[in-house]
Amino acid sequence: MIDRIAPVTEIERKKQPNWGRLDVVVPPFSIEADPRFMYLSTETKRALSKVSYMVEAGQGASIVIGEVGTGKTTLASWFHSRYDRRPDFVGAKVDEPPKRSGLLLLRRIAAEFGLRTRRATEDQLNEFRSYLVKRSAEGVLPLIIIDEAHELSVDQFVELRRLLNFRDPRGGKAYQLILLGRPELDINLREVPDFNDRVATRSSLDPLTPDDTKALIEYRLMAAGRDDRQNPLFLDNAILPIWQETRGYPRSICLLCLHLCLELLEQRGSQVTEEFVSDFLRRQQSYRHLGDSANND
Amino acid sequence: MTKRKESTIAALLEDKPRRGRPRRSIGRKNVYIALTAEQKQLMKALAKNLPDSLSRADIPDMAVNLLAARMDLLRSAVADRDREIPEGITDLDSLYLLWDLPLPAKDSEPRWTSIRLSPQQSIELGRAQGALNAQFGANRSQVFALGLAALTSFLQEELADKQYTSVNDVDRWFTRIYL
Repeated sequence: MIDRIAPVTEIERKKQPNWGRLDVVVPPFSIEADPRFMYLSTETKRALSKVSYMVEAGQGASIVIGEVGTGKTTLASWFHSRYDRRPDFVGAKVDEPPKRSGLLLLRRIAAEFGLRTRRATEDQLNEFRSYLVKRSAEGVLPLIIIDEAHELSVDQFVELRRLLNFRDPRGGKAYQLILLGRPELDINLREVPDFNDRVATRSSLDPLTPDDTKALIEYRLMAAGRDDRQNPLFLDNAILPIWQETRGYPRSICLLCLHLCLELLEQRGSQVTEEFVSDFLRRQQSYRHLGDSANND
Repeated sequence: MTKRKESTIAALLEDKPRRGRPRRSIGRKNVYIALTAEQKQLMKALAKNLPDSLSRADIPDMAVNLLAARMDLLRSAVADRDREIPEGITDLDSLYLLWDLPLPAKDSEPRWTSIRLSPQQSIELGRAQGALNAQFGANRSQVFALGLAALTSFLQEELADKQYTSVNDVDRWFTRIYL
């Protein structure tokens, strides 16, 4: 039984659960942003298809908006891992933009591309320009992914717009940009109409439906190595209380399911049922704080 | 009076019959596909709103033309990237989502039926199916259903207030709007 507040990763390490007993090879409900575990809900698929179409067609900026815990960071990791390994793309991922300064943002992006960082904005932009000429000749398109983009300032949007204005020798937009952030991003964009007009597509990630919640749990278990021909680990009647408790937010679902699995292992149970979930929620109100401390680390 | 010299571009743009295609019109051929009751109903509903010069029999040709044009757009978008389809399009549903089409109902049981397609459209359907089958294992019925959904959306959202009297007119509107 979990009776104190500690990060999830610490619990996983200390308790060293025997995941093999649940017939999985790795922990199925880790809340780390791991693209291998990304469940493709309808909204995620929509965002993937629209953003990747715009990126590959060289249309410039794409926006993905979602509340906390809807899977933006996982999506950002997915884009970075997929495009960075392709020979015709080079990816730079900024997990959290530096505060306010446009130059600092440009320097962070430059460092991600492996470019020299400069002290003056114009010099830094010149670095980007010469980098572009070099990569264009090789047929490579640079892709910039910025997570937590709701924290970008007006100055930073101005510098990003200048990057978007660069053209490759064939006249297409040279730098492709994916911004992922909370709904405030949409509000902030209204303050920078010059940039806002350049956004090619907007997608949003919404909380999951009960059906998607069930599919996410099944997908995670399968991705962790559980054979889907086995008896279900989570019975159908357990899905609704999980969805009600988590309101369909993927990160909350994973956090709750992680604790349900740990509890199941401790009680030497074999299946998660409706009663099991209700009983756990009645006794373990503090499990959410465990996730908070894990996220803040 | 000097005779006006015909321009090269005018000669190129002249609507010439393609090589190998007979000048006389060729009858449509039966193509067997499986459609759900909803999709058949949809075709019936679409036919009711078509202009007098078009009928229900023209719907399959229009659907395939539209699908072929959309697939060409998709190919040209990724032409520089040595790919047929962008990275994030992971299955047939992704195409519905990319084109803002309603996803097909999964629980309806499809039944075999035949549609009649003109020769060129039969080839286009085969071409689209070849590409989507190689990518996602899509069958001919699923590919036609995608074209039907695209046509429905196009007629209802783009052509609701526009004049068209033939299958070619619908193609021209697509070109004008999307290309």
